[in-house]
Amino acid sequence: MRLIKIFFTTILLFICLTAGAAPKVSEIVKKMDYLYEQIGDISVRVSIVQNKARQGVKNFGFLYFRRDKTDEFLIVAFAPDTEKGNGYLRVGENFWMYRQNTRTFQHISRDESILGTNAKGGDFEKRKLSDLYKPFTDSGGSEIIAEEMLGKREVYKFTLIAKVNDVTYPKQVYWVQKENYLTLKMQSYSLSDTLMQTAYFPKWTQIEGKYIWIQAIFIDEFEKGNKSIVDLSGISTKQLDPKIFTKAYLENLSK
Amino acid sequence: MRLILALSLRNLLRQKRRNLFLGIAICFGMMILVLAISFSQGLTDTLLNRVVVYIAGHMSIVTMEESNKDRRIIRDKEKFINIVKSNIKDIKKVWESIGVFARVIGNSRADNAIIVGRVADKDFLEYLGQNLVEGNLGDFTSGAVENPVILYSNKAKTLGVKYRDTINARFATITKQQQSVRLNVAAVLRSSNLFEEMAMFVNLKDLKSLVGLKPHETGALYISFKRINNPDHAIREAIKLHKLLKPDVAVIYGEAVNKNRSSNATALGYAGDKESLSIMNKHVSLLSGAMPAEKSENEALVSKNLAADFKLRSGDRITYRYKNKYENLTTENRYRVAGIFNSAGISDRNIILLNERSFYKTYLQNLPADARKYKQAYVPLRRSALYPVFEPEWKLLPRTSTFEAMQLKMRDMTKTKWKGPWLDVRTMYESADFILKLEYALKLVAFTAVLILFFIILIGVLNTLRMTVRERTREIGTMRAIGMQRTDVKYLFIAETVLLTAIACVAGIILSFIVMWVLGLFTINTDSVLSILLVNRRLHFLPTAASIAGNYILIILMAAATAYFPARRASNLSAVTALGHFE
Repeated sequence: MRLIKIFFTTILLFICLTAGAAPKVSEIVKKMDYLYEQIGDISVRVSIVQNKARQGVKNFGFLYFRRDKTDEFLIVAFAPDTEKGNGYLRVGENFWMYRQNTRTFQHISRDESILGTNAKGGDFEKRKLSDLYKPFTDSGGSEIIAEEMLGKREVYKFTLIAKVNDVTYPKQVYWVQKENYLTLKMQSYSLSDTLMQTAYFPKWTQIEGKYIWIQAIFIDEFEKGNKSIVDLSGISTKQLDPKIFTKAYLENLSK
Repeated sequence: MRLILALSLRNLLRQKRRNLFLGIAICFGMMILVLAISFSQGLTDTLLNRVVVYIAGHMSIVTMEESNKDRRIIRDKEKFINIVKSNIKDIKKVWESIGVFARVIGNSRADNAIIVGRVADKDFLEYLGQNLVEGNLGDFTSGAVENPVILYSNKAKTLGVKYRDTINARFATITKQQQSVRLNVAAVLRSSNLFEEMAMFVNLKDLKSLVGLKPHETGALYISFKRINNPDHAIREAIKLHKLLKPDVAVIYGEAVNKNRSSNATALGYAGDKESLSIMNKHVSLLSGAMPAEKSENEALVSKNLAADFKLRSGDRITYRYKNKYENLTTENRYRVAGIFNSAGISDRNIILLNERSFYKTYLQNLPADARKYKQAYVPLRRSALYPVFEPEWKLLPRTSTFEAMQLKMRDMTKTKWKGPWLDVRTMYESADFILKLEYALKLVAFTAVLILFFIILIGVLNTLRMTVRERTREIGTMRAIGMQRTDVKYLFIAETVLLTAIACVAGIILSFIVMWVLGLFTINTDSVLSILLVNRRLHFLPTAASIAGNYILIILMAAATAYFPARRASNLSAVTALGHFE
């Protein structure tokens, strides 16, 4: 009887102690991957307002279609006028850029800029955060996580470092809302550990149980005064026609 | 002959005014010709030996990984430098070309720049010394200053920086990760043309480390020749080098380790294309397990012998380690045994077969020591049936001769998505095609203008001679009457023209040198694209003895040919007809 009492007391004590403790970073990352992962098809209208110091404001807009099952995506620009009709098509390992004025497709690499913005082809690929980054640990090998307030919201703050060498930023610091694991703020660091970019994700939406941010603000910390605001609208997860992910469709859409 | 020359000279002096004007016209023509040719040669020299050589080298070796034209990495630079130095003729220099596009921020504003890695060798230091505006070159070479940078005065002005100021730079590493660095201004240089102003120099060693290259790796190898006067030289040597760079099978020799036991083993990569897989199916039989998937990583096929040695079964794990060629390091990888294979001829060896992805991931990042030095290593022979299946050290791109052909070649390469290194041997005729086209166009314009000018002058010479013959018809009659032969009359008129042309051309050459000297005194401050044609902001003339002598002889021959017909007409006159001639 005494042993049973000790056993239950220990269990109760363990529950009480761990109830308020922060989860492990790797668990949060897995959770984030699960919550943000879109399975199936998605189409979205993307608007980017890019403000560059001494260069003024530029508006970019494109339609983005993605099919995860076959690892395909298509981007077609509608703004600015100089980019209108230009597009990008990714089917498996092949990635083409389409130029409307010459009506030609050109093979490009995932490192190339999309429509002259800071976004790269690789940014539109479906890659899990946990495949790219791992938690930053202290000298004892323990994951470092902190609980703090970001404005009025309770967040977990943790650092991730790159597992692979083909990510743009080798180190990222996340502020993730405790309540629902949504990223509210992210800071990206260069190889020499200099803060290069701060991103805010103030608006999210939930579609079929999965979360998608609908507004993001990217602040260039290296070149002060540069800022980009990305807005997503018209998000649809309806099944897309397979013919969308073809060169012919992109050509027709660009006419 | 001496008499004819004496008579010719006397006749020239007799009609001083007319010959003076004609001589001035020829002198002017020769001056323009020498100027145009010297400018054209100066232009070629500037573009080929000062511009093209920095953009693309006269010849270059480029390797691109993952079928990405921008992912330029030569993993074993020494190997290629040795091949070039021991086989290519007339080399002035072989150097590592590493340059990154960067966003740089100074005190006043941000700008784009190309950060170029340079070794502080004698040539470079001499160049820096000649163009130094402010700073201390010792800061660049001593190692006492962290990330010293040398930039041109216009860029320094744009960024608002001076000696000892700092510049923040952002650029991408070879794997496209963001890198940022603080550069310390060690010196500011005077630029000689617009092309140079984009460049900022940092120590090659520092830049390699910043972009993620190891000491034995580099971006591309550029080769310059001792003055490119014959354009065919670079092409000829490139064809020769291309033939020498035929790749062999890429082999890793190391040891397989399992449960505290180790055994020598060779690791090879196999190609995943349909043709290679069909050869594999024909010559390799799987005793258990399955072929690793195309996109899988760290899965291996193990030979029957190695599997028996370690009592391995499909699904087991095996460690494979090998010595790296450089830095005295050992690489250790762990693979899952996807299958055990048997193949006639190689199954009695300890062999590990890796797919393209897994093989090049380790082979390129941790270059193995030369397996051919080890007797126990399995190096496939060219006659072996499986030879085409094994992954090569690199794939050689075909030689191309124009920029357009090179673009098509790059497009085809990108389509392949092959993970290994593609090697390309280029000359300036592909890499810096636009510069050479500019040079050709400018030369053509100059040549056409000079040709038109000379045509006009020669018409003048022809007309003057016809007038002379007409005026001197009675004189011809007198000379013929006192016994001068027809041929002598002909030679007399030709000699007069040749003498006049020879003297006028010498004057023209002297005058052209004076004009070149005077034009060279003026500084041209232009930021237009044409400033790349200037040297130290001055027009660059390069007169050569051979070209001047060649043109001198050509003009004299042309003058003689022009004089021939009026002279023949004069010589054909009979003494009686000539003496009876009245105006």
